[in-house]
Amino acid sequence: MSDARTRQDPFQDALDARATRADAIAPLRERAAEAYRDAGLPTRRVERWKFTDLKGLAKLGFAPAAETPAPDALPETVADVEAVRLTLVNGRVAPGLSDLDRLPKGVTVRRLADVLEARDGSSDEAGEGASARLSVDAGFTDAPMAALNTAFVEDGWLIDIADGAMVDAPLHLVFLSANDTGNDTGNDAGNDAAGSAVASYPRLSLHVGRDAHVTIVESHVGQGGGPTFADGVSEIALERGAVLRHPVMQNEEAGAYHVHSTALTIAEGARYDGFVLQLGAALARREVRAELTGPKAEAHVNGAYLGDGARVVDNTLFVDHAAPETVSRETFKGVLDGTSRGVFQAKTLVRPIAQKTDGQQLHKALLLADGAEVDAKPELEIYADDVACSHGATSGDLDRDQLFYLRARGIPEKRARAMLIEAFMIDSLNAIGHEGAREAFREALAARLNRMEGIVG
Amino acid sequence: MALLEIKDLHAEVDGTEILKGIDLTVNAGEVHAIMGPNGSGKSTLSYTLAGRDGYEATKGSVSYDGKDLLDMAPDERACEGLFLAFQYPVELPGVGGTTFLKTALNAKRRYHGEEELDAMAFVKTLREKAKALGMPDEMLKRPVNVGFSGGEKKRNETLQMAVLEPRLAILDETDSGLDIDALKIVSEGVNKLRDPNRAFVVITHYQRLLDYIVPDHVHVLSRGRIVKSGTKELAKELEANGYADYVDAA
Repeated sequence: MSDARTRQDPFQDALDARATRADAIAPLRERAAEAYRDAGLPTRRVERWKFTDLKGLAKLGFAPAAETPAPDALPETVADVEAVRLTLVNGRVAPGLSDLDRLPKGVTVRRLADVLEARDGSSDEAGEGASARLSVDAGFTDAPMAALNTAFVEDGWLIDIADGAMVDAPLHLVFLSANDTGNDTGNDAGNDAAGSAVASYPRLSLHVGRDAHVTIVESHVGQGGGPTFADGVSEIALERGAVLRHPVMQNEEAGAYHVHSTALTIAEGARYDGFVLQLGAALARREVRAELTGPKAEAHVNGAYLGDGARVVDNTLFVDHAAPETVSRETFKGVLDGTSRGVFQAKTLVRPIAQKTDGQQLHKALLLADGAEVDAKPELEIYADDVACSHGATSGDLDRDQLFYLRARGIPEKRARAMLIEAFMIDSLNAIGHEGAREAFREALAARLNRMEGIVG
Repeated sequence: MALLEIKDLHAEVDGTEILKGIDLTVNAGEVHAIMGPNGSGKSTLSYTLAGRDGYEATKGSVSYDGKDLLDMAPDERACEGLFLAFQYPVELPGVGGTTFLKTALNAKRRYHGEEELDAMAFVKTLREKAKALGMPDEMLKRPVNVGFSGGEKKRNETLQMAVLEPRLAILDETDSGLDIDALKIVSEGVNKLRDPNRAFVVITHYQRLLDYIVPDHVHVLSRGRIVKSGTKELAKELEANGYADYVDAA
């Protein structure tokens, strides 16, 4: 490894410096560390990272991942949804901010840290080992960031929804990136770390049993104002006939780097109903990989995002139709202002066996400023001959006739623009199947639009 | 003092002069009809007064309530009491009718330093006014003008006017695309708003609307100028003889 490379990649250093952990996934960690070392921090030369550059990460110094005391309260950016809350602060379970004592019937929640401590890795009280639930890279290829999570993961959630469970109360997973560098209270040991980023590696493993129905809302938020880097991985399996509603909001602070890889396997007749609302972070990349493994499985991966300033917002999707009569829907809408950039990479693979596949990809962007940019790359790769697949991408500015109509009714330009942007986004929120989450996301979007600067192009 | 005083107004669209010296004075309480053939500049006049981008006044002046109208942004004009009922009302997918009107009314109140309206009180007033125009509550919840018929859109324009209570309303071809029943409903809505403190400029191609909204003054617009002014009898004469005389004269 050359010195130059070491300087550009703080994670290589961290891997070299880390203490060997003899926990349940020690061999997995080693393989993950190797996978990361082989690939390194992705650069734009890698096709899948062509539009999103992580080199800003390399410039950040990283504080050693010290235990962060959980805050007393969560920030207002968390989705305001009535739910059973489970909170990770910098990748570690915060029991005080989690409703572990009022889990709905049919829902089993385990702390990953507890399971990791069961050193043999073969079994824990539920009879299932962590190594069976976690993988090196969650099935992603060329996925150094997912591998990095596996190398460093300390805690997270293992959630099981029992076969046939109809869970009414939604679960709300809160992922908080906290870095209180601006408010250092004489912590002498960590003083030279002031201004460096706090890295966290949150992990979720979720099994939704046969014919079970559940709603899991996620809020990814920040607190403290210091730079953070959250590198999350979610591995989600839907058994036959299961239904998972999964509205996810990324509303991190302006100095946050947010990378999250979600891997889904969806069995026969199961339906994944996901939505990703991205409102925050300096750079956010959310990657979803969905495998439709059984006939009539459905993946709905919809979303909306908003960029201003110099933010980069990336949604990268891969749907693998590996069984007949499977359905995928990917509709994303983005609003970009300032010199922000939106990335939409979506690839749909239809294998020869996947006859009668119904797959649609659509990306629509509103570009509010000359400096804003969108890179949309919808892709279909079809090896079956009896399919209905489509893709499309559009981009443009606000409609001038609509803007004039609002102003002709007395609404000032800034407010009129905000209304039209909200209207553009709002119908995409209708794809969120859970009313409480839909309403909460709508409020978060409106609040974010009100804070948006330079909305008057 | 006249509410609206237009003097020698010239206006261009895409570098082409459409208005070539309009003079018009409208006093509070009056209803003026502006009639003219297609291409005479009727819509250009309404858009220039409302402040639409691309409709550029190049000469002359427009004084509204003693203020320079052309110097104001479109939303300021609206807050000052100018209302344009659109010939083709714009569809606003994703913007609910009630939210739209509440935002508009509150923008106006804020402009005048008044407190914003209580949401409950607003909805109650809105429903009453909508009912009078034969608009069901359900229509108020729907996105503005989306999927509305021509008649429903014009009723919606009239509702907005009733809520915003303008001092000067410009009705741009409000009769276009309306059947006789819708025309009656819309006209009734307009007539209810007639008031000594309020003026209307009714722009139309046909005399028919003026049977229901009876004007005090009628002007003939041709090739960017007002070529004749008279009473409501002038409209009847136009209906009988057409615009040919005026087009030739201009």
